Amino acid sequence: MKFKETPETIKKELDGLVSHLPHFQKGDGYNVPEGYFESLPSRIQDRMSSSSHSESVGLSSVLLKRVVPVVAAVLLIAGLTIGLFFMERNGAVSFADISDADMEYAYLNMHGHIDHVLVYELVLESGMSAEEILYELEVGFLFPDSDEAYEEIIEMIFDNARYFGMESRNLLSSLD
Amino acid sequence: MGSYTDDELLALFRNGDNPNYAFNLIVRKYQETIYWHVRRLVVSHDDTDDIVQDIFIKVWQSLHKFRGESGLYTWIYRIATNEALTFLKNKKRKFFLPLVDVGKQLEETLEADVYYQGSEMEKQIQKAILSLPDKQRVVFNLRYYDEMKYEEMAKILNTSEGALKASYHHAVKKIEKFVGA
Repeated sequence: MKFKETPETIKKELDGLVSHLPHFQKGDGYNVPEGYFESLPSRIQDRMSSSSHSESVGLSSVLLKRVVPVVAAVLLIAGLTIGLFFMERNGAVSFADISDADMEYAYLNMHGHIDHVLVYELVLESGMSAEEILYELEVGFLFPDSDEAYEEIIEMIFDNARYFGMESRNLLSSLD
Repeated sequence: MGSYTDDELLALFRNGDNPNYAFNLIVRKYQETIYWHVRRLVVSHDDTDDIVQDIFIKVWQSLHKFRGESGLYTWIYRIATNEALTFLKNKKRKFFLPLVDVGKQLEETLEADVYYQGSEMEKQIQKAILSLPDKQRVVFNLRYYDEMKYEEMAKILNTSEGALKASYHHAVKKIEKFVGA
């Protein structure tokens, strides 16, 4: 027969388990501001009203903030890749012909939302490469719930960047 | 406000004229339990306040899809636990914190939080709890502070009762060692 737990059996177990802490009171010491729980429901209701109000415009703002920059960056890189391919075929342009400004523009389109000072500091402090740090930052920023989807995109972006000879480490230092 | 059962609240939400009112009753019924559950995990009052609001917004957005396979209480707890763990995970990612440093950082948050006024003993215990891995901390808190049955915990955490018992006992041993050291 399966043992049936009751509040009493749980309490007995807890009292017995924490035997080395005779003065262990169950208080945890956490407090809240005065009147916090009285006001919380109305603050939640306020947020519900504002979130339902902005739900229709919310999608466009999410698109603007998150999807559009990524799509723009991918399109830009694809465009540059195709352009470079044809230019190279025509023998007209070499890598040296791409200006620093073009590189910076492409880079900012990819990573414009990132705090570069933070990344720079982290490079100095952590010993990680800028790429690793960008990876970590962008995983959380773009795809909080999907590391795999992010990995695919970030790999593509960095592959493209490398194709142009853009090492994010160098780009970062050039932006300092 | 009378004390409604979860079934009554759900019926009021689904069939009543004013779902907002029913939802408000749900918030009032669970806000404190959920707040303390999250607070013990993320420590800071301000972070907890944000997370608790997010949790109830999610509850509101999904309540019409809730089919009642688990109890309302279990369902809200599951959302709350996931939100709190996601918050901690994102924090680790953002600051590249290894496990040990997360505990350390939470300890610092505890020391700095103006809404923490525990005795030295309570603070010592809290630091011991904060040194545990996140999921073990959830198990310890649910069992110790919320006195939750393993059966219920298993539904919230989607883990077997045996694993939860082992995890809890392991957590207690670590806390005892930490405090005794």
